[in-house]
Amino acid sequence: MQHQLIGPSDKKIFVSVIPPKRNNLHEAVLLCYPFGQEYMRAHKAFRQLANLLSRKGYTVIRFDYPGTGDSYGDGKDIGYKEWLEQAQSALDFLKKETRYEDIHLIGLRLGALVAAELAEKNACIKKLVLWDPFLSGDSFLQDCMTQISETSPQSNEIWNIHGYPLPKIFREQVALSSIEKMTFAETVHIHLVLSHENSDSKTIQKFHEKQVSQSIISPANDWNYVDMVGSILMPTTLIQNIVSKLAND
Amino acid sequence: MKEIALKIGKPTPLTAIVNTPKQLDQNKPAVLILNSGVMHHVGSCRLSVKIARQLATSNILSLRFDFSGIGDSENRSGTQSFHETSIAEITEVMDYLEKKRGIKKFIVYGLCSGADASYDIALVDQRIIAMVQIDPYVYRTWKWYVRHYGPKLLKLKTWVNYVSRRIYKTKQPLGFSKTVDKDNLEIASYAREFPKREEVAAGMKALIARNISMYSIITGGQSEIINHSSQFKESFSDVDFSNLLTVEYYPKMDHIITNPEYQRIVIDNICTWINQVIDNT
Repeated sequence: MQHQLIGPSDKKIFVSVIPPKRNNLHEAVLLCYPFGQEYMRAHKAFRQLANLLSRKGYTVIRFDYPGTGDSYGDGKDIGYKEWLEQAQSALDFLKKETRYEDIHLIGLRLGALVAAELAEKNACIKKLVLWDPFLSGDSFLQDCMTQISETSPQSNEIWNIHGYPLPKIFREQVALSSIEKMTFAETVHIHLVLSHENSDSKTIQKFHEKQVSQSIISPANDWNYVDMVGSILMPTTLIQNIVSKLAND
Repeated sequence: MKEIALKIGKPTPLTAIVNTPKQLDQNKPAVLILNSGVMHHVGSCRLSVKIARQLATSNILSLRFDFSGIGDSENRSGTQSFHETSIAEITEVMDYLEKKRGIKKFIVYGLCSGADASYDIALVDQRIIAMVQIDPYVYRTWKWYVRHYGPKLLKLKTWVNYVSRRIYKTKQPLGFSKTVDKDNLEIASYAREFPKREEVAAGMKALIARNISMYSIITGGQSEIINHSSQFKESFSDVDFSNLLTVEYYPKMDHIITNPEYQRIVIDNICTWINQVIDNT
């Protein structure tokens, strides 16, 4: 595993490159993290997922959005457009590093929305795995509103979501994004991996019926669980399902 | 500021991020930023990243790293406890910085289990000159019991609840939630257990004898142990801290510091304190 900061000096993003353990596949995967506390809780699961994919022969890249993790910037100043731009930079970096033609995306929660945006714009994407996705920015914001502690969050310039800033510019930009409205190339296969089926996943199924398959692995594997001593739940079954879906489809 | 990712140690290296200031002074101590629980080197609410970058503006080198098995560092084989491996791995990181950057003095920072690891390494390594701890070991005193139970004893509801519990023998659920699949639970490698107070008091005395400066920030997240500002010093009343201890108590601040205003206070205060310590050494 190699870690590096890439991009212009004031906008570097942190990428982790996990090379393949076998060199027979010539395919790569970009992982898109969720937002805020979910990012912290999913970090270990993403590392595990990357390791398993690497054993199958994939080159894998994890990256931190601007203003998150080890990337440059402060979350309170950063919009969703910058997330998308830097996600594109990570994808371009992956393409340049590997020169592979088949690239797959895996996105968790808000990361699924980011991955879908990339899949719509990049012809190299073959498989898109949406793990417990938000259908849209609106759906994400509604979820945030249930977590916000302050009253009348609409009036605040910056929402605080369990310690992570969500500025107005981010909210305004993400609100325009919806998987429902996206059009994917016919060659893109979308796989929904769900802890629980909900209205978001049903709508994705409905609007992209011909391209979507689905796995529901519930209720035990709550990847978003953390207890008082910091133990986390490793959603092993779910991760294995994602790996086997990518490798076998 | 120059920030780069490093691999330290063999055969299974630790992942580290080093922030090197524009003007590196080898005589200045470096700051080591430790993991909190299972959280990777970014830290709770990105606190570790923000502290490191603010320290770099004061020309202080800092290094954040993941202990083996946490974050981006792979597991290392062996049967040692977290207490043993954390000391060995912090030592390894200090050896690296001493060899590669010529730095001979260090300040350690940690929250929760990171605070405990800071204390452990300070006890055994002479290169540590100061430590910053958020929610360090602290112990209940008689004043804690008075403040905790006093107001409750005066409330009718407390007595009604007590009597109800005695009558209906209501049992509180223990252990894991039913919705949690134990087979998939990634238990924190470190279950926090406080040593005996006398043991820590002896340790504190040893650190004071070595002139080690200490900065303790206590959050409301430890209200089951501490509930007033003077309690930390009172719980170590047999230790003469002289002027080496600074304690701040924020009862409304939660353990992982989710409030942005408290995040700003904590980062500013830690960086200011570290600068003062460095100026005085």
